Amino acid sequence: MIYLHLHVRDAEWNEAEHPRDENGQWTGIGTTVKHREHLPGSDTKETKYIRFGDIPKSGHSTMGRAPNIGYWGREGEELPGVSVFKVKFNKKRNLWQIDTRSEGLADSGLASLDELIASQDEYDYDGKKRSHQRPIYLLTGRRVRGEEGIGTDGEPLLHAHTIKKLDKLNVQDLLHEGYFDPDQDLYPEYNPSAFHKTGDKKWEEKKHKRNKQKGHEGEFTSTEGGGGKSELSKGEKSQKPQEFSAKAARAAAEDVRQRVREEFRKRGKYGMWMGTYEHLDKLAHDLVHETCKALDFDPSLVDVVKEEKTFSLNGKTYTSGGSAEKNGRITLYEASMGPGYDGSLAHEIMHQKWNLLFDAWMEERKWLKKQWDADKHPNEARATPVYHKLERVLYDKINRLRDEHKTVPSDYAKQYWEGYKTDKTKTPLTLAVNETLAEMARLHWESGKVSGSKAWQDLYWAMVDLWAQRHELGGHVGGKLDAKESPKELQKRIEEDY
Amino acid sequence: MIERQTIDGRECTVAYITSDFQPADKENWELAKIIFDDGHVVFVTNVEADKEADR
Repeated sequence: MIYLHLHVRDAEWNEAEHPRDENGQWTGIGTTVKHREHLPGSDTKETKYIRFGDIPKSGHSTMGRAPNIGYWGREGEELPGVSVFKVKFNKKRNLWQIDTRSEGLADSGLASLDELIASQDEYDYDGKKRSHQRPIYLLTGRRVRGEEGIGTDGEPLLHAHTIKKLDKLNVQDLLHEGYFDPDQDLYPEYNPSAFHKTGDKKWEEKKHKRNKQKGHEGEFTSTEGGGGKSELSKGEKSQKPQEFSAKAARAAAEDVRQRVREEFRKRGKYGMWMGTYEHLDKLAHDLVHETCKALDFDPSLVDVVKEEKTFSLNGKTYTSGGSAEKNGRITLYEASMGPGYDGSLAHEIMHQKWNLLFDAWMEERKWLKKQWDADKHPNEARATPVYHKLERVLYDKINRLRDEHKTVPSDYAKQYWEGYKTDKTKTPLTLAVNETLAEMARLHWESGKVSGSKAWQDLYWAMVDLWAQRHELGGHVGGKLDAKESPKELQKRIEEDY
Repeated sequence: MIERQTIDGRECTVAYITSDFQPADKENWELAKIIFDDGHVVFVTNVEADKEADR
């Protein structure tokens, strides 16, 4: 995004009413000055915009350096209007909130916003004092309609002659949730601590050409087809996904779910399963088998262990209820099982699906990077189906998922988002997403309904559907499930765990 | 509540919850979910084990 030199054309503006300090910063409010009780324009209904920098003399902003391939080679061209960002007045905070969502601002636009806001700091990134800061204007104006009315980063354009300045703002008048770069937290090379593996080469975005044009956001622009075969599958099965009916699979799962819920929720007098040891033993095993069946999870990966185990926590020794490994195995201790345990199992099974699908995603991505390095561009959907799907519902939607995590009604999951917000090195993004998905699975199991916003539901169903297709997708996911431990190996591992 | 701990030299996140997955405080929990950074997860019930049996 490039801003032209300035030309203030608003006769209503009186600079004397809005004093600035020696650096050009308006001093009407700020961190050291009491916040204004009333912000001009906050009580009128017209759509408001902000702009960093004065209105271009020509009445046209120019095309910036855009990641949008549709704009490549057009840098410096005049746009048919003036670049602005839409804002809404946030009454609760008495601030102008930058509306990045309704405008479908591209990630590059969010990044530009962050840069513009950061440029309001007194000092630059190198610690040097800035000689000039762009003024920030609150504006109204008529939008340039149609596809032409969108700037380089997806921001709206206004007809220059219709623009009216309502106020000059300080950065402290603005509320912006910030740009969240998924690369930073989703990919292991940037955040090794979150992934338990290191050594991956730096992601070469230049080989990963994304088309950010409206209507095609996030689609790759690889021009070669052909569907190169992933080395992950090593010829085990065809890469071509077979016929899969998500609707039928979900309907079958729902039937079993309802039956399991009815059958195993029966409580005895004391809210526990009642009966003989044999009866309890059968209940525990049936619950596991039937729950796994409904959730399309191999019941042989869930071990019900009779013996009791202990675990030391906070200086005390407690009874262990179960454990789960990253390789897909779940161990439950029978003495801790009872009515309602199926919900916890649904939660844990989703963790295992996530672990395996996430690994498949990363492996497919690694393979795809090798292809790109060799200047090969296989058909992603066929060669790397897990990568292809999860990039769209998770990577491309991560800002939305973060913003909408509260739509999943789980106070348990919210704790991880709070932890992530506080210190992402301790509570990584992947953990927050993983726990939220697991809670969606538990809530779905218990209520029959999938909760959360559309972005969360899309991710949830993508996980469920990818999992259901794992065998048809070749060795990407299914292969990992072949690594089952023998009972002896399992026993040895359990012993070592404690 | 969730908190970070080191158990037997392994970094982990400990979540204290009720049996229906509601957050609980450190003094009144029914389940603790311990998520080690290496991916291993352990569920602990708030039933203190018989110390005799431990020996």
